[in-house]
Amino acid sequence: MSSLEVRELSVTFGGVRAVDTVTLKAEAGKLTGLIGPNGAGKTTLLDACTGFVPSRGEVRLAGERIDRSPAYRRARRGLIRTFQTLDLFDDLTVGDNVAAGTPPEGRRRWWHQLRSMPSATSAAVREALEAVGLDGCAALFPGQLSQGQRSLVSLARALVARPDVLLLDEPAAGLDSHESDELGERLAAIRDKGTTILLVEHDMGLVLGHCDHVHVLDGGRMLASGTPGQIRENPVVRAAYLGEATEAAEEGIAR
Amino acid sequence: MGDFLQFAILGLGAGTVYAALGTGVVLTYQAAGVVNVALGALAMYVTFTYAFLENEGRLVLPVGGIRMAGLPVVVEILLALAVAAVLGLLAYALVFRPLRTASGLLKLVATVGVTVLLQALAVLRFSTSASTVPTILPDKPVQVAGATIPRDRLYLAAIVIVVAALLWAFTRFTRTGVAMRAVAEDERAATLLGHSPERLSALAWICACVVAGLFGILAGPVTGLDPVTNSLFVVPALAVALVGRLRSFGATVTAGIVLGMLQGVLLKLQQDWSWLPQVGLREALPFVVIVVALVVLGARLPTRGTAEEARLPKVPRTPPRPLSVTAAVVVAVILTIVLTGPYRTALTTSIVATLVCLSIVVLTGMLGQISLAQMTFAGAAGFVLSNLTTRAHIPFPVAPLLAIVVAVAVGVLVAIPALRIRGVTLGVVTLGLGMAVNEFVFKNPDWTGGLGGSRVPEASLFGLGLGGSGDLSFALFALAVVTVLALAVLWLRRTRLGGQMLVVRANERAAAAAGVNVAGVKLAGFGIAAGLAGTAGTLLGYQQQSLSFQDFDVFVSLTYVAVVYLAGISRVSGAVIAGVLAPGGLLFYALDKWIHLGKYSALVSAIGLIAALVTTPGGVAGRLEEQAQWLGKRLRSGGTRPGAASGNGNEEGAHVVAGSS
Repeated sequence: MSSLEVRELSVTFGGVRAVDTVTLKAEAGKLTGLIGPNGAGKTTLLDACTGFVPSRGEVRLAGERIDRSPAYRRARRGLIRTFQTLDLFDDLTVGDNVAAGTPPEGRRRWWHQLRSMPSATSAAVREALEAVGLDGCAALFPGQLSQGQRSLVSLARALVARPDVLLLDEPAAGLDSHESDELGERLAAIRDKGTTILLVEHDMGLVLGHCDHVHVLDGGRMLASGTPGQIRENPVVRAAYLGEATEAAEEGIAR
Repeated sequence: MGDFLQFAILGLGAGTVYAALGTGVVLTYQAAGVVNVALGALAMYVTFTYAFLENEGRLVLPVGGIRMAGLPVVVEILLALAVAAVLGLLAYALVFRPLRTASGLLKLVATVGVTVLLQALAVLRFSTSASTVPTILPDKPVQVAGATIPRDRLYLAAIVIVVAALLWAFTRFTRTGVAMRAVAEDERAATLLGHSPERLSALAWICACVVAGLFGILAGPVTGLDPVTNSLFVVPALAVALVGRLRSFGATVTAGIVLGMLQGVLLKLQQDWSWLPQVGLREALPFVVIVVALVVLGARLPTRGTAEEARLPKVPRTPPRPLSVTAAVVVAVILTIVLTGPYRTALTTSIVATLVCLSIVVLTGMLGQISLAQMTFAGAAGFVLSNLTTRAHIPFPVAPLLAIVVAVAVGVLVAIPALRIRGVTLGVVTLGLGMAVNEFVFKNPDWTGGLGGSRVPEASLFGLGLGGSGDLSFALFALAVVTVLALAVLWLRRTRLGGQMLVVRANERAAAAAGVNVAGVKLAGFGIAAGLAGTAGTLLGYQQQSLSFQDFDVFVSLTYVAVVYLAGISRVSGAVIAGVLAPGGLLFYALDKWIHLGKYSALVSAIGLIAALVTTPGGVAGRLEEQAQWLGKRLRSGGTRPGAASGNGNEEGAHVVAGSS
């Protein structure tokens, strides 16, 4: 099991500090939530951890610094992410989409690239699709699925890589409350198999109901962190973020 | 100093044309999403129309003509511009309106078709007597700062600046102009606001063609008039439009004028310093401009928001059946043996063309990278082969292999800008590169045979000659090489690298997130494609036993992209069909022979290309496969119909029962 640690991480776009000296940790084997209002810097933080925007500060995967590696190297080391925009391969079937996430086995030399590509019908692909409840959709194209199902395809594509740390960017977008709850159960199951998860999410029910630990970002800075219970009670968080939505969120959890 | 000023001002003539064409490129890109390669040819055609009117007193139309001698020059210009407007409107209505939601590459390929069409028309309709354009603007020299300057250059520059300012004001202050910019930003939102993107696109096409035509005519006395040379003015125009980020009229016009003046100064430097290369230096300058523009402006180059995201045709999931591959090879071998004389030559041309198209299938079809200069890689290998064999006397299998290695190296080098630049912008970069290399390297008599061509002696192995064009031995050799490489590409498609290429084509960001080394895959793809094109270059050398820069012209590259897009750019079978369709290839020759197209062959093939692109945007190979599957289904269901008892497959059986009840 691996942890993901971020120390004094900053990302600037022009004059804007989208992420401002943030330090946080996703504990090994835990489901950690990352919430914050729109524009808080959550997605940018994810981009910085995975190497999609240049950043300053440290990113450590299982204690080792990875902030100098290009995005694909970080992925190969077991840091796998999904995108809010899903970014599926629209020309490829669902099965091929997931197969594209399969990591190559053993030592990699350039000639290994000339071996057969991973098959869309392999056991690993089938397993990943089953884990998200999409078995039977392998031969369809992403365009034929609902937004929620497409989100699950991107989750399956991440899972097939057998990630040590999984970063999810709003996986519940486009899901109804029942599906969102189901997703929470699935994420808990994935965590229980030993995968560390960092979950960026707007769905309060999902975050406060299923996460072990929650960080709150606001304006690019860490606002608070703690257990879901502590976050729910934290007056600063209530003022800055939850605000009037709190009651609705609590209703969601009670349900 | 005065001398330099004089040469710089002399360069304004060409600079004005770059500025005007660049402005037209910006207009059609913004309002219609087309990287318009055809504007150069259009300006050329309109200038011919004017020159014929002035010199011969006849308004020549694509079909027929009207005698109208002795008109005032202004009226003649207006008539020629009316022709430009009508051509622009026709191009939009017949070609680009049907293609408005197509991919940027398809639209670009369609402008290549229009270019070929206009060139063919110009050759057919205008005699060379019209190729001098009479002076229009007063050209009496004036003395400025000790330099003697022909006045017309200054007028030209002033007019182009005024026209660009007017266009700028139009897009800034009029309702229609603002709508045009809105369409460029977000077509769907503009439509929702009640603007018709189609009407705006048509207007942009007309404006672009009129502006291009006007400066073609006005600068004609300075630039000269020739169907090919004047069409090529579009390459520097694309370069300066890139400096204007395909958006700004002001920056585009400034860049065009500066580029023209720099070329003028370079001419002076070439005269003063004899150690400077005397060939192609000025023509290579636009490429330098492109590179500087992209380095300085970097990722700020815009992408245009279209209503529907358009993609390249899908890559087939399953490889072709071994039976159909074997059948294709057997047919090719039989044809090679049976055909003789010019037919076998045409077949050999098709075989070599297939290989060029195969390189485009790998690079564009599989990897999604647009290169409009594949013939440049072919040329690199071809001329290296010529030098290795004639100067260094390196024997057969070694020399071509070394030449191919050089092509691969060049390909990998070109891939470096492709790591940052995408889509049709990359296409424009490669176009500039292709032109620069052709003018600067391939035409240079120190490195190649120059205008006279480079010799490639017949290859022989163990005393057995390979032969050349028209020889059975060479045709079989070429066929064997191309077959092996085509099978290798089919195999590549099934490998991990092939899978990664498809993934990079689909979405680079997601590919990186899945652990794909996007940069590495691109370098590999460019290298493989350049190797295939380079192999084609060496085969072409052995076939013709002589190579010239004309074999590797950017228009040749553009034509191949167009033909392979038409045939099916994402399939190996598309490359084969493209080889048959290619200029000088089997179908081309056969049609010419049977229907006696004669001088009309270029025109007819251009019309055929455009018509096919508009009606079959997914490519012929894909359409053929669909129809074969449909036919297969029909045959199979027809077979089961009489005896429903055979009952293979419940669905079909049920269908039959339902049908008969």
